[in-house]
Amino acid sequence: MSSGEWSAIWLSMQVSFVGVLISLPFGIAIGWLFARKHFFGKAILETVVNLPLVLPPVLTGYLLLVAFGRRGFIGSHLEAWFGLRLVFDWKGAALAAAVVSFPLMVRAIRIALRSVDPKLEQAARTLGASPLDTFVTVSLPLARHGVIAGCVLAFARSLGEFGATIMIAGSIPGQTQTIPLYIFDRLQTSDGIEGSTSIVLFSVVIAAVALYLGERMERRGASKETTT
Amino acid sequence: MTFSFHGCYLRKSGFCLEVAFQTDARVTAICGPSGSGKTTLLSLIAGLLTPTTACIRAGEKVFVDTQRGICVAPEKRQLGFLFQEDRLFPHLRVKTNIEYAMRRRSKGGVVFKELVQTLELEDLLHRFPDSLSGGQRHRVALARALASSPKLLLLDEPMTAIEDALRDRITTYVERLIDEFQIPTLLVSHNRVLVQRMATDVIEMNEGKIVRM
Repeated sequence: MSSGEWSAIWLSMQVSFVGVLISLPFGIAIGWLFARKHFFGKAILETVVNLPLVLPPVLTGYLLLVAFGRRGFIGSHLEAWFGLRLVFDWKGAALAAAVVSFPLMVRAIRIALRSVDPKLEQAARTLGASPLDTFVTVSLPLARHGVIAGCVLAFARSLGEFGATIMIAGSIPGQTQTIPLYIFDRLQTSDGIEGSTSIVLFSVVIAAVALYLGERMERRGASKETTT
Repeated sequence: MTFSFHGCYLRKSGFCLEVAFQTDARVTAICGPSGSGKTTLLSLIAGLLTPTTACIRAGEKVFVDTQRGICVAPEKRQLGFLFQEDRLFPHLRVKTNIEYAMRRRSKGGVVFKELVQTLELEDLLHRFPDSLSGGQRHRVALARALASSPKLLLLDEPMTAIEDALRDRITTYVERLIDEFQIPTLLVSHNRVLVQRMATDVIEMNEGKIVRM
C-alpha cells in the first residue's frame, strides 16, 4: 500500500480511538441513566441520543458545524478559552466519529447495565460502599463485556464515518482524510477503482474483525448474565 | 443497645407493613409465615427500602426519622446483612468478597483468619462464587456479613442452605461472635430449633403486623 493509504489508515485509527475515548464517559453515564432511572423527559432524551442513527450523516455534520464551528455557540468558546479549533482539524473528525457512533455505544452499555442484578448493588451498599463505589466496583465490572462491546462497535462505526467528517473536518490528505474520504478521493481519478482495492479490502477486514469482536463480547456478557 | 422501630411502609401492590417494637435483647427473632413482611422489615432497617413514615433507632444512632427528615444511607448504618439469597459478587473471588466489607469498614473487630477457619473457607478463598455449592456460597455470604464488623446484624434465614454437619458448629460460632462483639442481632428464621437456641426475644408477624411479642 502507498504512504497515502497508510496515512489514511493511521489517521482513521487515531480518529476512531479518540472518538471512543471522548464518548466513553458520556456513554457510561447516559447508559446508566437509561438503564436505572425513570425521569420526566426520558423518552425525549433517548430520541435525541439515538438521532445520529437515523439522521443523514451530512446533516449531523451540519449541526456539528453550527455548534462547533469557529462562530458556533460552543466552538467560539472552545477557541476563546482553550485555543481549541475543531473545523478542518482531525479533532473535529474525532468529534464527528464520537457523535455518530454514540448511540451504538449507549445501547450496548445500557443493555449490559440493565442486566446487572440490583440486589448485588444493594448488598454492596450494606457492606459500606457508597453509590459511586458500588457502581465502580460492582456494576461496571459486571457490565464490562457490554462496555467493551459498545467501544468496539463504536470504533467500527467511526472507521466508516464519512458525511459528518467531511462537513466538519474536510478532506485534507494527511490531516483529516480518513479511509472513506481517501477512497472517495481516489475514485475521482481515472484508476480509482483498481487503485483503491487494497485499502478497501484492508478496511473491510478491520471493520469485520471489530464487529465480530463486539458481537462476541456482547453475547458473552449476555450468556454470563443468564448463568448467574 | 436498644433497637427501636416504629414505622409504616406501603408497597405499590397494596401490601402495608405497620410495625412498632423495641428490643434490647442480644438476639431478637422475627417469625411468621411467608409474605408476612419479615424480609421487608429487615430491608427497611438496612435502608434498602424507604419507609412511608418511620422512626428507626439503634442505640443513640438514628437511622430514619421521617418527621425530622433524617434518612441515613445504607452504607452509613454499619450493619451486616445476610440475605436469603447469598448475593455474592460473581466477579470477585471468595477472599475478595469477604475483604470487600473489611476494606470499607476498617475498624477491626472480627478477625479474617478466625472467620475463615471457623466457617471452613480456607480451601475456597481463591475460587469464584459460581464454582461453589449452595452451602459453600451461604457460608461465604455469612463470613462477608460478619467481616463488616457490624453494629447491628440482620440474618435472613441464615442456616437454610448450610450442610447439616456444619450447621451446629456455625451456629455456635455466630453466637460466640455476637456475644464477643456484643452485636445486637435480628434473626428471621423458620427454624424453631435455631430460634429457641439463639433468640432471647421473639416477635411474630402476620400480614405486615406484629401479632405477638
